[in-house]
Amino acid sequence: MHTGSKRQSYFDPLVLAKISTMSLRARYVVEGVLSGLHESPYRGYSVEFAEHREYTPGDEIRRIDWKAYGKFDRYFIKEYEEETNLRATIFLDTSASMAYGSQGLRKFDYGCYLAASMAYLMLRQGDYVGLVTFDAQVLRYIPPRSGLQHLQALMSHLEAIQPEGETHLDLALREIAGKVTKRGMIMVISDLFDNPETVLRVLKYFRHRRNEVMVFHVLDHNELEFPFERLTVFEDMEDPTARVLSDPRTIREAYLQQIRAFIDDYQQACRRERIDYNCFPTTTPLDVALTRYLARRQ
Amino acid sequence: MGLTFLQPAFLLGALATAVPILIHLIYRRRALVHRFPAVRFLLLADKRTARKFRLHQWLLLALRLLAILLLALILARPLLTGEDVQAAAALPPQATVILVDNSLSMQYREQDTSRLQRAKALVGHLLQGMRGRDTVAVMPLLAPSAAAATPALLHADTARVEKELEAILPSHAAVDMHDAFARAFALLRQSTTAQRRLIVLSDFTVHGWQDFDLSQFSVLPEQVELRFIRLGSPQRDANVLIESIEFTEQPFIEQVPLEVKVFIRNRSTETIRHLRLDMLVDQHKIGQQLVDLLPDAQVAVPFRLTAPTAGLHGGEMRLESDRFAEDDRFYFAMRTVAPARILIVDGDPGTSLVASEIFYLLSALQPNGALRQPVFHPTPVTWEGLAQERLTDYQVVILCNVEAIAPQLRQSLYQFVASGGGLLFFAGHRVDAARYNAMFYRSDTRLLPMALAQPIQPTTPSEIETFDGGHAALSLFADELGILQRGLFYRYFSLEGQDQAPGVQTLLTLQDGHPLLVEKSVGSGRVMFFTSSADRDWTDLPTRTAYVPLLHGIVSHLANLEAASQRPNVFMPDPIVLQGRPEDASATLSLHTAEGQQRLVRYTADATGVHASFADYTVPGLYRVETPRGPDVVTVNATRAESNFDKLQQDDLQTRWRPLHLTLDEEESLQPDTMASTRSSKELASLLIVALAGILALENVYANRL
Repeated sequence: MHTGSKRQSYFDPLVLAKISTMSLRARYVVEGVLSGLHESPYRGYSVEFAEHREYTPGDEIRRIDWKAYGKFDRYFIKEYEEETNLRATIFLDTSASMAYGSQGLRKFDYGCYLAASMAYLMLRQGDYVGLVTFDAQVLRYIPPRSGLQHLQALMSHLEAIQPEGETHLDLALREIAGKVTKRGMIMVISDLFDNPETVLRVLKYFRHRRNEVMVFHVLDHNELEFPFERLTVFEDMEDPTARVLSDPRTIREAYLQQIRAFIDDYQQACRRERIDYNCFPTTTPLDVALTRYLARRQ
Repeated sequence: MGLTFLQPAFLLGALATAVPILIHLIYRRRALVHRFPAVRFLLLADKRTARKFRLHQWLLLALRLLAILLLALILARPLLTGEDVQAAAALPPQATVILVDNSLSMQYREQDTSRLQRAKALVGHLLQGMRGRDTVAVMPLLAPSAAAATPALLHADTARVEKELEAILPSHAAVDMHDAFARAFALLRQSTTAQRRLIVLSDFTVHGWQDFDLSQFSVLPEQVELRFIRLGSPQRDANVLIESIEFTEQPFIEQVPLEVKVFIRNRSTETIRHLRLDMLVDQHKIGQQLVDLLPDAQVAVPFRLTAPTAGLHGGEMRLESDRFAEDDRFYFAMRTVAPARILIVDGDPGTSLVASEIFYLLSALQPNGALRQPVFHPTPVTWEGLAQERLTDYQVVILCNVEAIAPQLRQSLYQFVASGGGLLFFAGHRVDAARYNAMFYRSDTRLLPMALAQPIQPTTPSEIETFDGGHAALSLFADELGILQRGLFYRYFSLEGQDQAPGVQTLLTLQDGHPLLVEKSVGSGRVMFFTSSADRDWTDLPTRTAYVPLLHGIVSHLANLEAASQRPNVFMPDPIVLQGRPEDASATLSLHTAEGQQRLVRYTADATGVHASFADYTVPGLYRVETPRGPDVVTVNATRAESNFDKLQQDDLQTRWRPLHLTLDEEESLQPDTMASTRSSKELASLLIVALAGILALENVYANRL
């Protein structure tokens, strides 16, 4: 993986190879029946046509599309959208703070890799995956779909955007909340540099709506360790007026207390609301972080 | 109490306190700018720590500024002064002349330091009490030579004074108290300050003070405070020294035993036992004696040695060192020669040796059993065999009753004498006055000191009446004329024109006034004529006690065996004086000092003769010279005048300095912290250094903690 400022693919063969043998199951019963890996009594039956496929012995005769037979003189079966499959929506933070990276990899890029890997996993399982990119507002909402073609659409969007703007996660979540009518999975990939109260309030709302909520808290090594030595003017990435001249050696201890408290607060609050909270430092290779995470879930 | 600074200019160093502030400002301006997403947490942290941090930063800055201030203070050398110091500070400026006794006696050692070293250390303490407007001059009691001396001046530059003090070295020069104090008074008179002080640091041994009296000075500086400081004890110091040495057995013929006496004196009230005395020749130890000395006694310690091979030899007597080592060594030198080769020409051989003319002479010059090694190597030859002899193989030729010598041989004989050889004529029945005058007087081979007249045969045998006791050939008889007078002379030649013979010296004179032995120099050599016979034909001298020593003296003189002797010795600071010959006037000789340096010295001529003089030396030892006549050695020994450690007491000194009043402080009653002056003052630099070290340690710990 590398920091991408130009269009790049967020498919890392290493990561994909490692997670390809794994699965992501919803922990909680979502509406209806779990699809993909999950059994559904409603397989193949939906009000929404998806695509044709050639008849193979064993398919139900009633599913043959006779119009297509008349046209092509061959037997085809109609495939429909499966409404009871898992619907996941990935919320990816694209604010300016996500553009920070100290080890050659921006948080944003790490988040994109994470989003792409999760989307691939779920789509391969037959689940539906949607994407919301946001900063101070929702930049784009791609509704959940299935299929590899949808994956391409998701990737194209990820590759096209650049992190900028302020962070308002709660606004983005609130805006999309009305569109998420079905129970499903909500994945938030962000550094969470927003008002924790407002963020947690919206996350709690999603929980209360019987969604499974997963928070991937992406942070950089410098944010976690504050390894600076020289006298430095620290300038905020989202608010340039916020500047601090400080001798890092004198302020390190206090800073680390603050950021650890920040992470702990989120961790405890999420635990209370049964939100799956995970801290993903960018120094941890994504394949390692993801396989650990998936294994833990399994 | 008051505070003053010895080096106030360094207080300007306090301006360096601006440096940490400037560094902080420059450092701050060069701070990095870093875009960071988690600034909110920094702001929260800053609120918590800022106040505490700023307090720590201010404390750290204060410590650093304090350290710089302390450093500036330390360099400025603050002095906490008592009330008396403040009172002294209000006093008018003072001019001080410090005389440091650098005579040889100040080399007396106690506690592994010499008195001169301690005197210089005391002067250093005295200088600490100087104020900025005081002036001082430090001078040695014995000034260096005029060429090496730089004029002393009163000045306030402490560093320069310390250099002058460092330059004071021990001196072997003669002590001249009058000159020393004249220089000091001259300096004090030049000063315009009202307060004047003369400080003298010395051991106050009696030497040099014997003739001193203040009344010798016609002009004295006004209002002079006199302060004398004695180094060492006021009682006499114990000292043992080698006073001199004396060679009692001469001449210095190689392989011939010599005896030398070493005179040692014990200048103390203690008996000394088993004091070791070593004798070295050519840097080899050849003898050792253990000596016992009673209080204030002198002993003569004998050493016997065998004269080394012909040449110049340096030697040294070494006494086991005591606290004053300068008089524990005595240098000596000697020139040894090989036994003289004597050709004895028998003019009347006879039928046997006993009947020959030379029998007694030969026996006298080759005595049996008297010495292990002979002084002379006599070679007898008949007058006929003289032509076969090579005269240059001999130092002396003796013609005993020889009738005649061929012209060519006379020429050879003349050349032999003119080149430095010795010739002795003995008369006899074969010697004809007219023939001898023709051969050896009225010819170009003029060897006779005077012309011969007719032989005299007195009715009563004559005796020796007078002799030249100062002549080297007769030195053995200096106190023993009676021995010489026992000889009887029956027949002898008279000499013509003895009153008008220039350059002729009469050594022995008979009762009737006729000379018995005369001498004259011919070229580089000498000729003697004995007017009587060598055997018993004309005299009974051969049977007398005086015969052997007389012949030894004459032949030694003719063979120039006097050159085989102990070489000249001088005691410092007397000059080395080397006598030369008239032809040496304006010539130069090369002198190698005991320190290995080379000097060229010119001979000068005056009423006393021709001589070369050298006094520019500083250490005792062997001084080798290259004269026009070959190499020689002069020994220089340290003066013994400084070996007497009797001391002057205060009453004595006061008497000599009347009407001026002086104070005499004893070294043992002085402490360094009172020497700075009589003032109570304390330098704070050491305390401030400790404080600075503490502050730097605290700053280091605090900075690392932060």
